[in-house]
Amino acid sequence: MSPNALSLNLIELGHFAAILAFVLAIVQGLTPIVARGLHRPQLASLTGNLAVAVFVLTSIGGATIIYSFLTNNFSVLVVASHSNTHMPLFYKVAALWGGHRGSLYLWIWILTLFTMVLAFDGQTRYPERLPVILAVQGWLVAGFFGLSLFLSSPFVRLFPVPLQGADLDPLLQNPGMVMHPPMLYMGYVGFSVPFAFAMAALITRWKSELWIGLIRRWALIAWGFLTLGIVLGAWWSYYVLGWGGYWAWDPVENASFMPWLVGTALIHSITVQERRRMLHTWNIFLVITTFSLSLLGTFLVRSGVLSSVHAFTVSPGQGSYILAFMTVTLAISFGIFLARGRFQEAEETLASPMSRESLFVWNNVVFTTAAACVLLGTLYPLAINALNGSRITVGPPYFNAVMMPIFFVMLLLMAVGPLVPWRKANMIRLRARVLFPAILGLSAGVVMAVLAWPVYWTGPVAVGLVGFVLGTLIVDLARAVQQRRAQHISENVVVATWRTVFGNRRHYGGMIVHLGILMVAVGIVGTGMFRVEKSVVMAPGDVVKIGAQRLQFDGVHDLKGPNYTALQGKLTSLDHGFVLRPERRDYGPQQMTTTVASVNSNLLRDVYVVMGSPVPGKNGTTHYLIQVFINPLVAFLWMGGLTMVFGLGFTLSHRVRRAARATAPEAASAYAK
Amino acid sequence: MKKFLIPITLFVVIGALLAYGLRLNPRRIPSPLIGKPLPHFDLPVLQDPGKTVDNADLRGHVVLINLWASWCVSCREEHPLLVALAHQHVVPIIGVSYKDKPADALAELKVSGDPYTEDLLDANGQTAIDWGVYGVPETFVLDRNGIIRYKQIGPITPGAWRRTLLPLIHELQSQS
Amino acid sequence: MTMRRMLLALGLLMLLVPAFGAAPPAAGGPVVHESALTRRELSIARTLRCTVCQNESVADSKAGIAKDMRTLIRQQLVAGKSRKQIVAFFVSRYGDYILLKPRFDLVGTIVWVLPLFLLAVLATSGWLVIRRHSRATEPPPPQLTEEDLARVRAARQQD
Repeated sequence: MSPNALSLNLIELGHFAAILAFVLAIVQGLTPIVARGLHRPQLASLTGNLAVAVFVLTSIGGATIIYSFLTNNFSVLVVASHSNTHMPLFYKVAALWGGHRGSLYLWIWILTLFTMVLAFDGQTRYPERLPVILAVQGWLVAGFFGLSLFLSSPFVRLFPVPLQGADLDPLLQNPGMVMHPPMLYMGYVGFSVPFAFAMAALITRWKSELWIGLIRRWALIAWGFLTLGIVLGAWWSYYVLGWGGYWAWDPVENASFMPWLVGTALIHSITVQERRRMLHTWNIFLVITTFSLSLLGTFLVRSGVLSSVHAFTVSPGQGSYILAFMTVTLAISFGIFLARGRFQEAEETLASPMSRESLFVWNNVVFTTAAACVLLGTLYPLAINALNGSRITVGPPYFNAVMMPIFFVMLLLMAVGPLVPWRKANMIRLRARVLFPAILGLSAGVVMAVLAWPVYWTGPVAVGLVGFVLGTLIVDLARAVQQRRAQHISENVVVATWRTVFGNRRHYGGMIVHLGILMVAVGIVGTGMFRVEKSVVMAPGDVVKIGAQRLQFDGVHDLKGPNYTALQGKLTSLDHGFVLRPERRDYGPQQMTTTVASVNSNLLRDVYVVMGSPVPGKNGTTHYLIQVFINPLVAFLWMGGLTMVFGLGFTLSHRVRRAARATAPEAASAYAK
Repeated sequence: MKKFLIPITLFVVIGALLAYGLRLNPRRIPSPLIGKPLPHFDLPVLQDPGKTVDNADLRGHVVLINLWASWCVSCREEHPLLVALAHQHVVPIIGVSYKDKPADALAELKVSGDPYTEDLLDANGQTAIDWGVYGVPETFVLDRNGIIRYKQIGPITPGAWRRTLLPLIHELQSQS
Repeated sequence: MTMRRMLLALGLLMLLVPAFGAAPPAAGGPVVHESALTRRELSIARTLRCTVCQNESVADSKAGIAKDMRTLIRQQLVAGKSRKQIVAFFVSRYGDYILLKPRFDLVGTIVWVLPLFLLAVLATSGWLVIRRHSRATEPPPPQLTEEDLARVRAARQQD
């Protein structure tokens, strides 16, 4: 029996498992309702078992699809259209999420994974509410499974079976692109957990004080994955698309950025509720909105409403389904929210407008404004088309102009926020604390303005703000270390710093995230303001001078990759000796040429080279169009992204330890009420 | 809770907008050239590159100008329809092969039939940009004065022909 | 710790930086310069949207039509047309759709003004939230009994 024939059977088994998972997800959604109707509450605990079963069955389905990819089973549509026998193993697995069918399946798979983890997590900590939470998740799983199985099934078979498959889009054959969608989906899907909590809480009248601490961790995890997904996407765009940039304000990019912005507002305002018992209803609203924006992102990518480089080509009906699903979900959730939200209102008062909690309110204002502006710019062309039929474009220049001031305010709040105490700030003490950061920021801005004169005003302002925030981070840490040393005189500075930071991981994790954002800001300023670009036609032996670099073009040669042929150019730096090898790749089946940029990076700058099409030169020689960019400080973007994720991990590590010790009695007392 | 009604209303508006957007084709972009004269062109004839055709040659007739290419898949979709139309002599059809090698274009015409009264070549695609073309196939309907009356983006489907193009052509032909 | 970690990271990354000036500057072939024409061509192309690729500028796109459009920009520059004229030409052929930056006409102005409106609305609501919450006075702090004070004193002495 050939492996193909074997996997023929397996894919059908997977299909069956997926259908079963769909049915069980509906059962999972119905169980608490039935249990209540029959007055048999013990039935509701079945939801946990069902969550596990749904995950296992979905995994069987997913495994059979991956197996079909690995065995080149071209009788499966997704395999035939996104894979072929020449593809490297690594990309064969990743081809699962190369098209809209497979990627939707991956989305569901991750959702069932989160649901299962939730089931285990809640078993001992919040067993009474768990069935309702899992039921909400069950309905979400069922909703997406419906879309997958009926309109966009990855199990569709082809007959007659093609001998060879089409290729995976060459642009997607890159390690960054392999990891980008799963991370992004983990982020999108992760926000479904706070959503399910909020729904369950509203339905069962569960006071939000009792669960807000539980969703904080989930929201942070989702936010972390979303951050990682966005950074990976930017990284992919930078290295693969070959235009020297990393963020284009494309509708699909915006679709991931909006939940990130509202999610950021959420993780801050959760803290306010935890510490000061304020903003209860607002938090629930944010939770619903964040998840709605995740759904909107899915809709934008998969409906074909907006054209984008990244959008999937879709089958008709899919857009309507997602929109209908989104509408039903939002109508139900906002309906419940309006009906029951009042119950959650129990708020403390603000002692002073100059306090950490009121700055958090401003943080929320700024982040929601940012998200609203991105939404506006993304949907405005659609609105104009609907209103008067004309077509306009809202492109990167608009977003850059609108978002720049908002980013500045974010940086400013990030600087002042951590220095201002809860409840009420003592203005005299605050002034002393702000003094050093302000001086640092001011001098950074002035130095920048002087050194890089003439420069657009945003440059010095951004650098000044970065200096300001850096100053406050230093002051914040220094003050804490000083206080510690006043209490523990025997400790030297290093030990005291170490213990301070590890003693309050939650706070310092957040500060590390802020530091990561600063690094990203440095990268944005560097590339945005000081990028140099040249585009020249070169013959072998020619030299191009850009900034302080002289690059000599040494000519081209043919290259054979695993599933492509390429023309590889070679440029040598005459000043620093490094070699750049940009490629033009030709992947057979789709006859599509892609350019692969070659980059020499160090901390301060990237030298980024793209080789364009051959140009016939004089007396029969071939010249090449070479584009060279000097992108300053790009490395800070990626380092900043990693720092943010690291900081988040640091914050979460604290939580895990405490949770292990304290949750059981805490939970018991909570439910006793 | 009433204060939350404002953002929720906004979400409803967005939802309605998206529902409307689903029915639109993002690739269908109205041309600002409708109602204006076809920008000047002077293109060589495919079979005889020494000879050229320009705007003046089309005056006095209602004509279709069809941009196509031998490498274009959806052009093959509409090709049988064009051939059928040519047999019925409804309207002269000018074919412009877009960024094609003359040999490829001629070979394609030989295989699938040549519905065009004139075969022109826009080798470097510059005329197409001047006409505001997005990609092939696209078809212009010109009245007797050389004014663009309609532009079909994408292949001409039998439905589009019956409902839009044919009535328009009859109407334009009836005007003097 | 954060600072130390960053300095350490900086130090490590510096090791990865190829040492500046390590390779002796080598003499090379003839230097080719980017022509002023190319610079102007690309700067105009950056403001126009590539029509087939949907979300890239004509300068960034690798699509055939973008290349043709750049050629056309170049030809028009050579013919002595100004930036304004060239952009106007593309708008006359493709409509406002081709402009990456919305114009300040009726339709375009709205999208430029709305963010300010959104900010105003959200900032007002933020301010209202803060005001509403601070209007209610905080309950007075509970009085410490003599017993409590003694306990605090004892604790301080222990420390």
